[in-house]
Amino acid sequence: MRYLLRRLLWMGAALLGVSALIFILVRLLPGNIIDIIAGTEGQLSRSQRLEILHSFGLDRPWPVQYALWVWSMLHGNFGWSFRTSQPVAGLLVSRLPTTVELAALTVALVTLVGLPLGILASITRSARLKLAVQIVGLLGLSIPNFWIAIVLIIVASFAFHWLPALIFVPPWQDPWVNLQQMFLPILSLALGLAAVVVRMTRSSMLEVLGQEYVKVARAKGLGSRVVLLRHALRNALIPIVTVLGLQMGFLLGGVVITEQIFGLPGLGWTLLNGVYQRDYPVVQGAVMLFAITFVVTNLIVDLIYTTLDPRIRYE
Amino acid sequence: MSRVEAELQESPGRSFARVRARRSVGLGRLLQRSPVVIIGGTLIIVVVLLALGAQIIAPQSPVSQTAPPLLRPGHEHLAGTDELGRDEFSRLIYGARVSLYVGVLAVSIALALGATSGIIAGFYGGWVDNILMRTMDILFSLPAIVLAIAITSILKPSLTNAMIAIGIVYAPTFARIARGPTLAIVNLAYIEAARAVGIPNWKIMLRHVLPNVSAPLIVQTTVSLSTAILTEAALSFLGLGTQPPTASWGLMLSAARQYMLIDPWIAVLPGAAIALTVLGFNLLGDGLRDLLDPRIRTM
Amino acid sequence: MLAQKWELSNGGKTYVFHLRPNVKFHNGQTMTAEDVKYSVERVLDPKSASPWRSWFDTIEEIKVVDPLTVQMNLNAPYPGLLGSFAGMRASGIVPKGLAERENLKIKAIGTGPFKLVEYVPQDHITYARHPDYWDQPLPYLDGMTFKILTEETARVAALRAGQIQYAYVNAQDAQQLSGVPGIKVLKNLVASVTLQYINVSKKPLSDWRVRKALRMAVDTNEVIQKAVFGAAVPSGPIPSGYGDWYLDPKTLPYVKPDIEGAKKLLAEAGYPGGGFKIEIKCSPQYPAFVATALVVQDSVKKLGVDAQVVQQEWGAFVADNATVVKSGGKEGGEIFTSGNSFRPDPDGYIYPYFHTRGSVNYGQYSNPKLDPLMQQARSIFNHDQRRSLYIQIQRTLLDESPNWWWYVPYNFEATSTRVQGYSQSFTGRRFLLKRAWLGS
Repeated sequence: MRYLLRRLLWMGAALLGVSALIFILVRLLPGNIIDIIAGTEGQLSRSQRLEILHSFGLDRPWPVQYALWVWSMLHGNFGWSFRTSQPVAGLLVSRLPTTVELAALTVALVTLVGLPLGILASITRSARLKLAVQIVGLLGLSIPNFWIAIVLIIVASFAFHWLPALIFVPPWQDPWVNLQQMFLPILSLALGLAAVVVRMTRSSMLEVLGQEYVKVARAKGLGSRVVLLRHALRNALIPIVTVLGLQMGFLLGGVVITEQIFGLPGLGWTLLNGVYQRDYPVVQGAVMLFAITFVVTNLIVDLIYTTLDPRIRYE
Repeated sequence: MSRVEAELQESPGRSFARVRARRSVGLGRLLQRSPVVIIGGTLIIVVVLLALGAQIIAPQSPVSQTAPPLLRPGHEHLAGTDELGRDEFSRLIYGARVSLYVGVLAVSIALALGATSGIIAGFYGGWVDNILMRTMDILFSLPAIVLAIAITSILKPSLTNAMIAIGIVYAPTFARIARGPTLAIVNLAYIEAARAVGIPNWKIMLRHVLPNVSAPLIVQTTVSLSTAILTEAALSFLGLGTQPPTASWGLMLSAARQYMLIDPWIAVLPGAAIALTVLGFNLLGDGLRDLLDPRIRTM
Repeated sequence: MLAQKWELSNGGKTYVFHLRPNVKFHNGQTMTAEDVKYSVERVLDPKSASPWRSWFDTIEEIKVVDPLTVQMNLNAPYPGLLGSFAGMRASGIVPKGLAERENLKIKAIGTGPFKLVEYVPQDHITYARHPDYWDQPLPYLDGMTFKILTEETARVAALRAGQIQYAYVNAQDAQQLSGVPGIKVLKNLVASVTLQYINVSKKPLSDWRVRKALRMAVDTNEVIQKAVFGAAVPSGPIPSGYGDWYLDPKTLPYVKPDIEGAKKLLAEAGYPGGGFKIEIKCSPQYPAFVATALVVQDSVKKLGVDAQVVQQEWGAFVADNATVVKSGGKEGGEIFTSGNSFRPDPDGYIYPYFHTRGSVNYGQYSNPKLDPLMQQARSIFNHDQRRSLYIQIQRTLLDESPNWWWYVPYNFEATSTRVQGYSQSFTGRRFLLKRAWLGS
């Protein structure tokens, strides 16, 4: 319990750090919302510019803006988008499920495919098979994922004359259409992640299988399959789960470009667009959401450890 | 980092101390056991040679628009010309330079920033540890691509600045990897003894901590070299990485997007180049990990 | 058109508009002069910070004469006013008081053929047919949804898979799509000239001979080939195809490069063999602009000039652009690759940029001989007189090269063959979709 409290305290401090970092970063970007509104063709007079700055609160000193923002965040108010005047919290919440679904389904696909492949690679005696699995797995990791995305679109449309419906349909409205829409994006993300899982599974299994207690279990006469599943896999899962947790970062990053290419209204694309349009509240809010997700995921991962390995206790 | 992660990282440290004696067994034997390292290593060596010898090997200038655009591969242009009439073959070769520059610079920064932070954090512990690792956590929880975009937009967009951005983004990973083994050995008796005798801390870190951290760091270096190249491609895709007309595989890939349906050649080649180089680094990393981590018995 | 007829009086300083009766808004209200007054005043109000206010700022006062008559008094005659209203930027007529009731960034109520049903930013926009549209029996379509896809490949793929019936495509894909059954490709010239703004305040670009020489070194057709795959027409300051104000492309200078002439001119200006550096900015969001900059860079090498191409993310590009104008050219950059899109009046391509007191003058370009010509052209109403003035102005500008003008690209719109009755507009806008219908 005390561990949990201490952990939460540090999480809070980290989140505060993230908030300060993104607040400053976004204001250091050259250009601001005024430039985006005017573009190269519109013209805004000096008084018009001051008017815009004032209406967005950008004419106040930075520490004041920061304090106001953090204060309202703590009350659940993430501000209003500069571009659309919509409440940022509502905007992010409507986009979050898409990204979460994308990430979750990718992890699921990757686990379904990567885990067995990794186990296979760890127990097989054939050196060639091992090498093949390694190379194929790593190939997926070696190709830029925006590239895979574009190639997938072309292959699907030109070779298979198929593309899913374009207007995004959430899974609770029509799960089948939604799945179709997610299919290509998940594939393009999974190829990269799968390699990591395969590799991690393989090395983790190898390590565990070489340990003493596995040999003891074998000697006791337990069938090898039972040995594998029960003892080895369970312990091997720890570093795998660690890796998946750390890969959240990769996923959330890869998601940004994938969403843009496939036109999925998710958090990543919203964030990227917000950066391009210098929509400070949207960028700040989205990054905070990413950070909170990341930090919470880490906590969950650590807690999962306890179920996987009863030796692990927190003081 | 939680105690759990610290415990997980503990074992390499201990077994390393015992295994070190065996490491001097011939390099040749090691290579024999791992075809992965050979393949990976060869790919990398080829890329490095191309990069270093670009000026000699490349038949033409990579940036001059001397020919009609989108020519098929032919006598004068082995891989045809790109959309602006530049020799594709020469651009591919010079692209190796950019990829290596990218990888080396970004990872050097990440090592310097990250590994040192990790070692210092693990060594001193206490509030130093907390502050350093929290900072790393903060950097880590920003989506990498967004951080890279932000940094390159704030500094002038240029390849060097993009690499600095990537280096900063990768530092936390190196920090974590360095911290684990450091924590494991910092409490060992002989370290205490060394301190008691009066050996300065930095010497201890250099002579005792570093060797124990080096293996996982080497592996991570190869991994990060590969992802740095991929990240450069992504940044160039967004226009924030390599500046035209410099030839980088990422930029070539990005520019070829418009022509994918007309002349896929100029898109496939840089993509293949990236894939092979990254694959090389990954294979090398995997192979090294297998070799250097004695816990893994290859069966 | 919402105004059935209008009259000019008072030397062109007073407009009286007679509105069409019984025009219904999307919410059922009937449009009156009060709504027109409200809408236009909103654009003029500095608090609304409209970037298009300068198109209307000659309007001093708006009076409601009766529910169907509006009078606008200008502070100076401006022949471009009607064009400003037709330009479809900030000229929407909305019900009085709407801005105070609704968030007009994502909602809209107007009198057009389609009403806005839903706008999800960065995702899609949905329209439905306005049953009480004044131009009966239009529109034929029951509704439209525009899905925002920034990736060109995705658009083309969706078109081919039949998921969408209309897409804006680039020249390369247009060529590729023209053989595909079930898809037709429309092309036209759109009022949008690709150019480079030059900050003329610093050496060596302050010398017109240097600017002209650099321009002479570049093959316009090569630029067109590499930037837009050959699908464009060379252009002067007023985009080719814009009314009859533009210079005939066949008579344009610089279409063919003249390296020898350029070298001589450069030497005359005091830079024999070049020997200086320039910086060309562009943004990767517009690959055609980047390609244009790269061709220029490669071409001026022949003169011994070292041009560096600097790619900037759009926000940064715009910010630097604004800095140049604001600082009178002291900081921000030297050359900016961009484009001038639709302007309601030819004056919009000339006066703001090149008049000594122009509001978007890059680095204080000033030609005292041209100033009175520009002033005159923007205040008289005789078409032929205006035209000859603009022809003369353009020729001089081309000679002095305060900008480098390149081409007007073709605008490609690909539709399913089921879409009938749609034609393109020179403005590049799709308002003629109101005449379209879906066959089988």
